[in-house]
Amino acid sequence: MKGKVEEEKLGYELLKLFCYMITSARGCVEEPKLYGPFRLIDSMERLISLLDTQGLADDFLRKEQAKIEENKYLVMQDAKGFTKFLDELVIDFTQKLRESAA
Amino acid sequence: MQVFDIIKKRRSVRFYTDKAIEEDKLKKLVEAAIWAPSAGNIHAWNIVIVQRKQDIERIKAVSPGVLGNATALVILCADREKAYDKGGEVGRDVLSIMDIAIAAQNICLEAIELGLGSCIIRSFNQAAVRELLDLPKNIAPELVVSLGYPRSIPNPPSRRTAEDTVIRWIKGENDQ
Repeated sequence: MKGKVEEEKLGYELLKLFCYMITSARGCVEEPKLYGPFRLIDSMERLISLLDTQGLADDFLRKEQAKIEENKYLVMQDAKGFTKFLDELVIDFTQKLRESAA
Repeated sequence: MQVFDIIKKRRSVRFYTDKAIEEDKLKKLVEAAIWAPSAGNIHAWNIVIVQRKQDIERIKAVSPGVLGNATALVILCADREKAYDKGGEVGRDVLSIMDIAIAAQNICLEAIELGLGSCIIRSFNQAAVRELLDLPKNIAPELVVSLGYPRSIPNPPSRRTAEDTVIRWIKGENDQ
């Protein structure tokens, strides 16, 4: 069972993630179109990171997190490469979904 | 280093070592900003510097564009009241923002000379940053420059050629 301090810390980290997501949502109203997918994928990376601190991320998620970290900045200079990277993530997660029990 | 070398050396750096930036270096960056040109010599802007980790994390939480692990944030804020009083609507809505952009570039170039990396960011929620910093209503955060000692420096992206950039060049009679 997690201690109160640890729970408070997790709550704070989650609050920061929610702040990031809501300000991203607001920013996306006016920002370049590709920032939307970037913020979503960046949120996902942050969420996996948080899950990892709780021992809830498996090897698959850690591998995907590393892939996101390595490729997400393609959005700044290679839109086609960024889209291809998103396509690969879609396949990775779909295969994982197909293999997983409901 | 030649100015042009410094200009070419500047990259948008997001990953830094843990080493804190010395106060005298931050003061030098502020000086560099102050010496930027300003429309009508109005200088309708101010700076907030944040080095405390907890506050950087809070600002990052409402600033989706502040990525990585900067050890200092320099936040350039327009003084909208002063800009309007001295420069009218164009001073408030256009020129003060342009002044801030030029000042930010000065900061980034001086940062190179000081061995620092930097990144200019506009993707943040102005109202949220103002709230976190407890800034008065007339002070509008317009740009964040994230800073630190670089851990890694990205490769330069490709750039347009001069031929692709200059769309018309009207030369003088003696320059044919």
